[in-house]
Amino acid sequence: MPDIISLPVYVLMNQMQDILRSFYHPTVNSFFSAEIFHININIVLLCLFLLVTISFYVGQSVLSRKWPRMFLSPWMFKGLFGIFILYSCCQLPGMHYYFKKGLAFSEKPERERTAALFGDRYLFPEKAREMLPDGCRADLETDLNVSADPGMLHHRVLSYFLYPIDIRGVQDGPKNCMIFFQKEGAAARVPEDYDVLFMYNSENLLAVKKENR
Amino acid sequence: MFFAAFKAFIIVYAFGLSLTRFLLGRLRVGRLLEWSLAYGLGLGLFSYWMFAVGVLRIPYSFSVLAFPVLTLTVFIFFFSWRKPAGAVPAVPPEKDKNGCRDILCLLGVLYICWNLAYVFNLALNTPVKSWDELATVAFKAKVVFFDHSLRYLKNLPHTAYPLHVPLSEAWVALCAGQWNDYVIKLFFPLAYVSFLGIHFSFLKELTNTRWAVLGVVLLISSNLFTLHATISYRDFFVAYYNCTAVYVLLLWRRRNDVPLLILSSVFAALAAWTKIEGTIYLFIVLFVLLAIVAEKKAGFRPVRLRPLMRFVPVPLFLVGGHHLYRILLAIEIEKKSRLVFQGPVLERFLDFWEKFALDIFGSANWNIVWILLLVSLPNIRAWRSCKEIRFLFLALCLFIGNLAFLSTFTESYVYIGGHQWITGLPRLILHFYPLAPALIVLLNAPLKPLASAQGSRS
Repeated sequence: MPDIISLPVYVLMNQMQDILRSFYHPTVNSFFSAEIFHININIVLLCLFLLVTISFYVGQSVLSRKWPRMFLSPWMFKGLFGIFILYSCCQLPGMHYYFKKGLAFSEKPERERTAALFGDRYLFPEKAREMLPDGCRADLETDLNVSADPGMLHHRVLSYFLYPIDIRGVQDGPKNCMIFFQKEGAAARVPEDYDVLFMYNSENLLAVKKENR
Repeated sequence: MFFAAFKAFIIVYAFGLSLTRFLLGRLRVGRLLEWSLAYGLGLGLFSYWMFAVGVLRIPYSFSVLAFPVLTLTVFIFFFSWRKPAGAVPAVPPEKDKNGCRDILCLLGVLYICWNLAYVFNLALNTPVKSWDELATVAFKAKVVFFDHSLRYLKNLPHTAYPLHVPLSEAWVALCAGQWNDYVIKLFFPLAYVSFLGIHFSFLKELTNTRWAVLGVVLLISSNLFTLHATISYRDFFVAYYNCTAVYVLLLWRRRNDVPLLILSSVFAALAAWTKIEGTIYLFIVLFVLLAIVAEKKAGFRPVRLRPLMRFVPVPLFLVGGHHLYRILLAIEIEKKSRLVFQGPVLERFLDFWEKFALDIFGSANWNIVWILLLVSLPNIRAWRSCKEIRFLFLALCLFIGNLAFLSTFTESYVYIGGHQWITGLPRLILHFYPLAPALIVLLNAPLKPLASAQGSRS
């Protein structure tokens, strides 16, 4: 008997939790609105608000036997402010989720945190920076399409973590090393006048011009 | 390393505080406002100082950057403290009947504290990770930090963009002595605190504590506004400087104190020093100033344009300096900013309004702040009793109108009303969003009479 009761409660709680968490989903450019049964929550809340406000307004008007100006009715702002509080409260579980995530993240050393986010795009440049002196200007060889996402983003992440090894042509002067990143059969593609300095894996390696060694 | 980086903040803040104290002198604007303004002012002018040093091709180092500023700071502090006191009558601050004791206010303060904890946690525990941070803002800062100069500025992505945020980050790294993807974001949550202080103080000046707290709650209830205080994008700082310029301008209108007008002009210039769009916002603030001047004294005589003369020099120097440098290096503003008067103009215009409505009413970016504003606007009694509302509304309309113009007549259409609107429009709305919660409060709160404003220096 308790299972029959607790299961729907459990499902309902889970559903509620999912809906509440969808109120706060951070992305840099825009937060997409939560949905209930594929309807934008803003629209649901506004309809609810209008229904309640109009009911109160009509009720008040009938009771007082006069029609006050609707927009100046205190119900309008107060009702909407109630929705504002409700909306803000709904955001809190989502925020709390990311807050806890941030706290848990802070317990790890910085290197581990960054590696957890970027993987090889951070670990490979980190090793490359250890091997090469600052101010190296490198050519990048990759199978990624760096002129469109997601390849473009990978390229920017790599160039950011590699710097002061420059793969974006920021520094003036001739190129003196090569970086193979996500390049199939990278070792076989190293030009003759280059030596492999460090091999991260079969797709990622670092090569320098022979005269520079 | 955090403590080493913290000296970056201490130096910048001391610089800003000395300047604010020097400018405001014995003007009673409230400690909170003074302390909050000091942060933005110090940081903005310090990054401009870094730019000037870079233009002069002096290699960046802690001592080269810090010592002249510290000397100036000490000198200004000394000078401003030696000013004879008492010229302006000291009026005891009014007792607020609501105070901070009522339950609504306390709940508001709790919500603000929670938000601050959230912002600091997210900003300082996550590295730079988003697109613009990695591709441009933090990347530029990293190049400047490792090269100790602006030598490679011409080879960097988006060369024409102003350098306030990259130089600020480079400064933190210089103080820390090494590049750190976490510590460089130190200035963002601190700017968040500072802006809340400015927003609160502005509303407190016009209303009471309860409504001022409510104004801050409305402001921070926006997801996008809060999130941008945790990432290394330039939009938060544009919002900071742009809205501060408007607030301080309105305070000047209320009190008629010249230092406030000059401060407003500095903040408007710093918005332009943060992002190209800031230059347009500078003209909008200037337009609001013209409207204030026109409202204050009917007709035109040269003497009545004096506020304009006081407003223009600082932006002319700061913004003009950057654009002159850009022109000398033959760095062109990007194609997307250029005017285009051909094509389906009406369609673009209508597209903008559709996307704008979709964003302010249908997204989760702004809570329901814009709807609250819409409902509050018909409050005619408030419009009559507080003229600041008119100018705040004028500024808001001009900012929105500017977006409509950019969408219709420039190639930025793609990012404002076109298919990529989601990547541009919300961040552009962020630049003036704080004016909306301020307007809501002014339209609904009991307003303070002008009598509380004290001694003026016009």
